[in-house]
Amino acid sequence: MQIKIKPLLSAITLGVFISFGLSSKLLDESTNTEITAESCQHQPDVSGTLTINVEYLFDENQTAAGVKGTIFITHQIIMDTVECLYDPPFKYSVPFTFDSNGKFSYTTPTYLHDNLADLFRVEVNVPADDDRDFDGFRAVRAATYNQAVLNIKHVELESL
Amino acid sequence: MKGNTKVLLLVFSVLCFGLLIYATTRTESLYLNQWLGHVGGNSLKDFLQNLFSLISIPSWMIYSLPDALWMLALILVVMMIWDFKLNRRSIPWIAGAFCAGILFEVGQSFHLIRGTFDFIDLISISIGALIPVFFTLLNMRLCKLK
Repeated sequence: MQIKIKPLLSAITLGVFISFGLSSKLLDESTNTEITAESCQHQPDVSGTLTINVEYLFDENQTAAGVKGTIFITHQIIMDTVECLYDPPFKYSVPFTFDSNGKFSYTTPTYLHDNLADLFRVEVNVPADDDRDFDGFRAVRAATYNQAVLNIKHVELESL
Repeated sequence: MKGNTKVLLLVFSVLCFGLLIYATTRTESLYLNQWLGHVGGNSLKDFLQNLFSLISIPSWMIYSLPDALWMLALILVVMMIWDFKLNRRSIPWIAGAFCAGILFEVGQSFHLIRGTFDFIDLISISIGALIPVFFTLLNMRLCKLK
């Protein structure tokens, strides 16, 4: 291989691999998509459901009616209380459309938790839409043990 | 040329293994997994997501091994370009590739890049970089002995 081409090929390789890395680090927020537990105290058995309320406002006069998004839910149950390790998590997604008030609610199936670190990791992804001129948003929250309601509200204009 | 084909096959395999880890163990919210859903349909996405659902995979394999594989593939390609020779021309590029990987992780600790800084990721990236360098040094030493 020509010695002059090698630096060029090396630079291209670096660029390609860095773009791979950036696509996962910058765009995906891919790190730690499961939550790790530092403490995991045993608690009495509790059964219930988690209701996730998502609200999206463009501004004070305009709600995100008809905008589509997805809720990604990861249900994590502690398996090992010594090392605070989780069972293989149960993951699923819920596609949704905001109602006329810019709201959407979803209630999970009934859970049974017996540890303070048993939790739902909830990620909401609303992609941007240039045609309708909104930025979309991503938000990640966790609901632990016996939490029944999780509210996620996003307002397009931060000044509101 | 034949040797390079083998290296490229190895790089391809390493990257595919990293992608498999992402597709089977990481959340659906990743763009890669959403893209797989679009391309292969829900059946492919569900198949991949359920492939290891009953196996408890260590967290370092899920979160750190892909970083190591990425670094390994990058160093392999750069070293292949420089004919697996360590000299004053090749070392800056190899070091630059290694630094790029390290900066990704260190950048997270300073909140310059999204994500969570993890020391195990840093070790994984270093191991991924050192493996091809180690074998190259070993090969160079063996050639000298001959």
